[in-house]
Amino acid sequence: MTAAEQQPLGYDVAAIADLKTYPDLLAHIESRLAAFECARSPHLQEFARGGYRNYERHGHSRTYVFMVPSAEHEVDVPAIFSVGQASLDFSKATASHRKRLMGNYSQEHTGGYLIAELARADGYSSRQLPGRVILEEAMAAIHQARRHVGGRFVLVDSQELVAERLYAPYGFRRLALCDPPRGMEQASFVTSVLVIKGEN
Amino acid sequence: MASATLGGVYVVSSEGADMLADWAESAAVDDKFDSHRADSARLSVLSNRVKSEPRTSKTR
Repeated sequence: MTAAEQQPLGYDVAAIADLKTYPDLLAHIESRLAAFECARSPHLQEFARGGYRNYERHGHSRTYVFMVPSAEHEVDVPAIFSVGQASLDFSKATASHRKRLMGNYSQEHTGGYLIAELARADGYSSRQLPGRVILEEAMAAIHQARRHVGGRFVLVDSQELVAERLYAPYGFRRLALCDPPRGMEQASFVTSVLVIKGEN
Repeated sequence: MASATLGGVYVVSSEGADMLADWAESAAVDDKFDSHRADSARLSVLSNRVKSEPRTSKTR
């Protein structure tokens, strides 16, 4: 590993939607996304290479890109994440549990934020860009939305190992096993949830 | 590293609700992370970096 590969990257984050007023930059970022490599997850690679467009177009989620200066590509994309919405069904919980879960409101359903995609490109190491930093940026986007519209739960589906190493140390709790995405049927996936409290 | 269904409904089992209920009353997340969200000045810098055509002066 070279010295450069051990140094944390200086990066900028932007929502793809924010790049529309910078057409040259947007075109460049789209071309870098088209070459995004993530061998660990064919699903994430497919999403980064263009799958995000439909979700963006219809407003189902917002995809964010990390951008770094690059000698080879001028600006490269070492990571992406996508955040959107999902909902939680507490109908199987007791009334008492529902009240405690919902902060004194016994509702059976509620909305939640969803970390839909989160990936680092294969060409970058965890020393250069730790998964924790990508997660922190995803949470920063969620906190920003929460300041405007509220919200209490954050959900994420991930491979079990990633849940243990990335999401649990942040504060997520494993909820249940879940179906893996298409193309990753052999992998074990779990749903994790985070409860956000406080007024900010 | 993460992949989930947008707009999906997550049915929480009674055991899951039991586990979450205690925690939900005490959970708190620190959001003091210093985001590197690019402002318009940074996006302009990055945009200038990738412009393929050099800007030509209209001054003769």
